[in-house]
Amino acid sequence: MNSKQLMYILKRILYAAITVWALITVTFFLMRLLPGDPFTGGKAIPEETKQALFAKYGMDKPLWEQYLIYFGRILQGDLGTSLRNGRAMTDIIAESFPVSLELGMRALIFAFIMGVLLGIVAAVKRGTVWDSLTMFIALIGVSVPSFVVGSLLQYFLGLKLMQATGVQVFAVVGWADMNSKILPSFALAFGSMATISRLMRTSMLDVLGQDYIMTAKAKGLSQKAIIWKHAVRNALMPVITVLGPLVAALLTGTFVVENIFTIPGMGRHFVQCVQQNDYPLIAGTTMFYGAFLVLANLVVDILYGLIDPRVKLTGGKE
Amino acid sequence: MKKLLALLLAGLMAVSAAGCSSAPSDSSSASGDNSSTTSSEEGTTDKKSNYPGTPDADMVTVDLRADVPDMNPTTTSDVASADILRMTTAGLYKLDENDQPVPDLAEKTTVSEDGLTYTFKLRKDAKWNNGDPVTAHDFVYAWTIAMKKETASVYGFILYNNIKNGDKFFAGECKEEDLGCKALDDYTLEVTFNTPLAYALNLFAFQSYLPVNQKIYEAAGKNADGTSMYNKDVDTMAYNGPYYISEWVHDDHITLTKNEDFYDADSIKIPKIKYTMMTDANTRLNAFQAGQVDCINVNAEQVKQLQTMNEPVYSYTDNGAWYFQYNLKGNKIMSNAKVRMALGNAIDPKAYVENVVANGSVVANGLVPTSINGANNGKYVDGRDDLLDHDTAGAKALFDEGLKELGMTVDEIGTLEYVCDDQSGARKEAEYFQSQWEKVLGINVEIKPMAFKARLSVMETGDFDIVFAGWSPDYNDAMTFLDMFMIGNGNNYGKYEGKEYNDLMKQAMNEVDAAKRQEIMQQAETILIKEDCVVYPLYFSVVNYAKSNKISGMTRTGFQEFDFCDGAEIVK
Repeated sequence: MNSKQLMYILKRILYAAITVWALITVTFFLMRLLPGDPFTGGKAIPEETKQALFAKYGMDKPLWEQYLIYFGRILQGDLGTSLRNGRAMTDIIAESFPVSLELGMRALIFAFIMGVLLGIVAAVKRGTVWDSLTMFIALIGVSVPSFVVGSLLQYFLGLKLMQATGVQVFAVVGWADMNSKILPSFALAFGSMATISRLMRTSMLDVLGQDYIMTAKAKGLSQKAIIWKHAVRNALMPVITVLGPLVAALLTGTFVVENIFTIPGMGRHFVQCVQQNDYPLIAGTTMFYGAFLVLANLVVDILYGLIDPRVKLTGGKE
Repeated sequence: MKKLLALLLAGLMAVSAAGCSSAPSDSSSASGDNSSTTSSEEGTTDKKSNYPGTPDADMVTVDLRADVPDMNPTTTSDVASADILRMTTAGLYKLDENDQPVPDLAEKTTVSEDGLTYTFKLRKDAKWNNGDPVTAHDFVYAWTIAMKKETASVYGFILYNNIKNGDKFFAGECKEEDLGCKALDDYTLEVTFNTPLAYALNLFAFQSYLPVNQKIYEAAGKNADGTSMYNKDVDTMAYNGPYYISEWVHDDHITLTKNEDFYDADSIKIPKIKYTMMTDANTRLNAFQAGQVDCINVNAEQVKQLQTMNEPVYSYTDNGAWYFQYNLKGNKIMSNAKVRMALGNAIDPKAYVENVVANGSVVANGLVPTSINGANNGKYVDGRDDLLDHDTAGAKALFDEGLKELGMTVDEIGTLEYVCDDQSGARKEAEYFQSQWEKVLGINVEIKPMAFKARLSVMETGDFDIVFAGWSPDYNDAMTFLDMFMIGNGNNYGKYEGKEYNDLMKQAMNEVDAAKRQEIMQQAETILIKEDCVVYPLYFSVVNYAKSNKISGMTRTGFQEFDFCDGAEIVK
């Protein structure tokens, strides 16, 4: 890595920090527009208790002052504590993120390998029954939401298979043994696999029509060598591009799949914190997701350079 | 710039998720298909489940549906936390399998003649997990914390509104030693209330009245907001009860293990209890059928499904009352009692409860559910007439009469605003009401579905005409239903200002004689519902559940969602 590349990466990190700051700021003010407050529940709280609660959490101060206090705490590494259960945001992330990360990694590996393979097959066997079959699978994957895939897998492979065989091949709920991790990973991967395979097919077809593939053929290279050495490597670029946001989405937890399989990941926090007006949790989860997304995109840009040596990490024209 | 936009969108994603997802749904308020019958109360059915249950030999698994947010008795305010607290912490009283308060740590209780002062002699063989004996000081310590303003306890009022000088202490106008709760010695506790409370023993069984161990509380420390970390995790947990939390994976499960040092450990028969936290109704049923859980709540549709499978369904009344909350200061017609009564009668509550709610819930005949306890070991509703006649045929005539009193015609009404939760079940119900009101009364009603917090905020600001609302009691007494509609009460969303009603309620609060007090409250309720129709009660809800053959003797009632201390055991 030369100094130009280093400068570029440092610059990107600076931009990333600014982006995350903007995200925190906008979220902080927007979430206050949610109707109700964190303490409204089914039963009215006596006015004096409500005042005491506002005072305790500093919510009786002007909003800009609250913002400064909150931002000051973030700079010290304190992401705030949940108003609902008093637990620190950092503890909540430390506990639930590894679970989502593991689930996401499994799904991602599955989605990537299967998606790329299906895409290659469809492109190489273009117009044949293989092409139609893989693209049909992809179509289902894109159009059937994960909660349907998850529910079906749970019902048939979790419950019905067990009732038919008497052996618990796949667990219905939970996240402990190997047999509980397969169905949710697959349910989560299915949609992404479809996206990747469609993208891979289009990209492969584009590459296969290029002059250098013709040259390779003319040189007398084998079909295998042409596909793996020349076509796939170049066709992967667009797939790598979508991998950034995809990684962020899969790894930080998905509410639907975690909900169906009762997995204690981060997914539910994204939804519950908003329902409960748990301000520190809303800001914390949003910031975490945002930072992760920025980071994933940065990694993808660096990966470009590794896959395609023509891409230089210098940032703009010289 | 594009990336910044994308990021903003990502941030907003979390915010917008509120719009498309719904609040955790309560199985009792499910809506759906035709009527279903359920076998009531455990033990009355001899039908056996088709499912043997979980495979563990010494542990039962039940579904709690959500994590436990606050196990600290001084600040706790929710049902799930109370479920676990009841199992880990012994207090002065506890509830038996019929929700009647029975002595727990209180060996002897004496009540003064004016009904204001309670003196407890505590048993001496109760111990905390750190070896400390449970003393009268632990109660005073806990209650004092809960009544402090800095603690900002949501349920603090249930102490400081009742205990003598509590409100002054909260306001910082008197000292700890002036409070009406005193440890006379290590094992004698004296409590003085402001008024004679007929339901005092129920309060002593309520989670806000549990003791706290000072050493463990102080060692637990506080978080950055100043919230105590007492009982927040396994390592800051204090227990003196039948069980302790041996494992707590947040948002996944809690495992309780029998506390061998509990004073009555011999009566506890189940060695371990695991509570799962499944949020999806279909998942619960699948897990139950696959033998991963022994007891789950089921909704109306699932009740039907289980019945076709010949699987017994159990139910208990959760003491909830569901009603139309009218805004008396809303549309002009809402100020007339006859109009309000006609609006309720017009929807034919019986047909609605049987065909739309359809989960075994009971048509309401007043505001206070028939299951609520009353004087002399009876029920509160004993001797009280039905307060609603459900005269659907006469609804239009009554409505017109009301309009005439107001000097209005139907054309002058405009559109009424009906606010409900934004879940599919609530919307379906709303459409049913809307069509009935149009058909029977000829009026236009606009449905405004809202997220839970938004609905509450609209109720507070009074920006509604009718809200579908419900109430579940804090303690087993009619007062918790009736005091809501007193002038100045925060739950009086309809802004009702009934002077006669208010006077009667004040009179009831100061009445020592239980039978007389009940009579006064019945009079007040008659004014509230039959004469003034401030709210129109629709039904009293039930909870339906399925359980495997593995558990017997488990208590499930409106005040004890799960209790395993009344002789529950594992069937071998």
